[in-house]
Amino acid sequence: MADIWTYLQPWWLVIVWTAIVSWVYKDNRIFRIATVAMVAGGSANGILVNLDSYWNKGLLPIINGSKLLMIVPVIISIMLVAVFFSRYSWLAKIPTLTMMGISMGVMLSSVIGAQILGQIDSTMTVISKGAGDAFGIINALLIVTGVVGSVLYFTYSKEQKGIYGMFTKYGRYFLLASLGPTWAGELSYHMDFLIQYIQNIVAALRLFIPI
Amino acid sequence: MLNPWEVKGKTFLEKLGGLHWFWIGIILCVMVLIPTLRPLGLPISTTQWTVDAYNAIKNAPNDKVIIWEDQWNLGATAAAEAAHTAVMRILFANNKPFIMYGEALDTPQLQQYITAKVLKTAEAQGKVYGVDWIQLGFIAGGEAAIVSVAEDIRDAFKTDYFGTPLDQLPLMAKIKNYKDVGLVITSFGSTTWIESSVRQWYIKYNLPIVSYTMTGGATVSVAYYPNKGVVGIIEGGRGGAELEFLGKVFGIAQSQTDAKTLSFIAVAVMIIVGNISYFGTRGKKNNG
Repeated sequence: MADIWTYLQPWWLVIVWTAIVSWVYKDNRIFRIATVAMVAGGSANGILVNLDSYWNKGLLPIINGSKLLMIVPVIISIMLVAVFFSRYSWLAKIPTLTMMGISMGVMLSSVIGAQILGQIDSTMTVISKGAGDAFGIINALLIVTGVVGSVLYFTYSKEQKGIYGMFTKYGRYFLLASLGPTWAGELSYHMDFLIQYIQNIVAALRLFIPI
Repeated sequence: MLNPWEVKGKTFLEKLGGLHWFWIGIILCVMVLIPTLRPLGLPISTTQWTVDAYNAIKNAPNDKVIIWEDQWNLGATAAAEAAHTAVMRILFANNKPFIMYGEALDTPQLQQYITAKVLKTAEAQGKVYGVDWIQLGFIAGGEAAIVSVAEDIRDAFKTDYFGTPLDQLPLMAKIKNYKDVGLVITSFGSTTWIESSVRQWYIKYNLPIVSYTMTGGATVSVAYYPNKGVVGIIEGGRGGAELEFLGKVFGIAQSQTDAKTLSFIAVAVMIIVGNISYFGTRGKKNNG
């Protein structure tokens, strides 16, 4: 015999989901209760996961002596609390800047290879590498001229008119064309929510009605 | 308050474009409901990048470990669940050991939620936690966390998600750092996370990446495919359905594709109708 959770879980899901969807009709109390519960649950989870991470990766190695140097990031992180005291709030800038420095450093160390040189290389060599037949040559030319036109569209030091303006407009059409699949993807992504919502309703109903 | 009966415009073409969105929502719901009640079995085509992703997973070196980083959270579950389930089942079916961790706060619970379902499938029978797969839990730091994991995984994680010390898990004997990794699967809800993965996993450590993006993110991933780091792309629910088909691990994605196909046809018709209304009334509005 199935336990009560088998029946409760689908219906609980449908009830909460419907409470959120009820906003479509109008803003209401059930919607607000559901959203507040969601924010509260998410925040509670965030606090617990972060505390657990802080304890296991920051404090525990100091306590058991396996990595005493962890005292440095721990002290830096404690400085964040200074934000609550106006006299010492400047201290909170140190951990913020430390994190910014690490993130920027990690990113910059390989951004030139990945996002600058790599992309220029694959754009400029596309003619020699990909142009096997007439279709390949057209494809390669479209990519090169599309990239150049799109890049020129974002240059502001020269007025975009005449032949130059036509070329930047050509680049803009490429930008708009690239937005097409992105928006179609967004639609598909959000349709997943509707599909799962309806599937959940049907699954919950099927527990009692043979549909 | 919602008033579906409100129709804007005076002429037929204006009224066509002024139809309340409520009715469009109803049409979409019906299009989803029909195949949910009675699956239609519409055909599924596969894209080259999903085939490449499948082959990359299937042909990952047996003497190395697959690293699976998840960067999606609760809000993306509807889009991510199908492909996540399919990837996990394919990994089990092909005996590819993998280690997964989460870079969003609630990802470990979602990994756990999906793992519980996957463990009931045929592919997972006989698989042992700690030998065939490991779940490491959450790691903070975003892109910096990748470097931390790649340089020394034991330094990044002391225990797994359940608190077991890593040295007690047999699979951990096969891995110390990036040199023991054969493939990276990176799944994410943000469109641009793949840039971080390429910067670190590919540019720094020369490791191939399977980009498992929610739908919409493929347009960024494709800039690195097929020879700039990304060896295959799994695109959200659609990618999940393709993987289920390729790996013969049929599941929820297959049941969603009928609904998607029907609803997208409806959306395409609505876009055409909207454009007819727009262009049909534009001249009049400009003159008026």
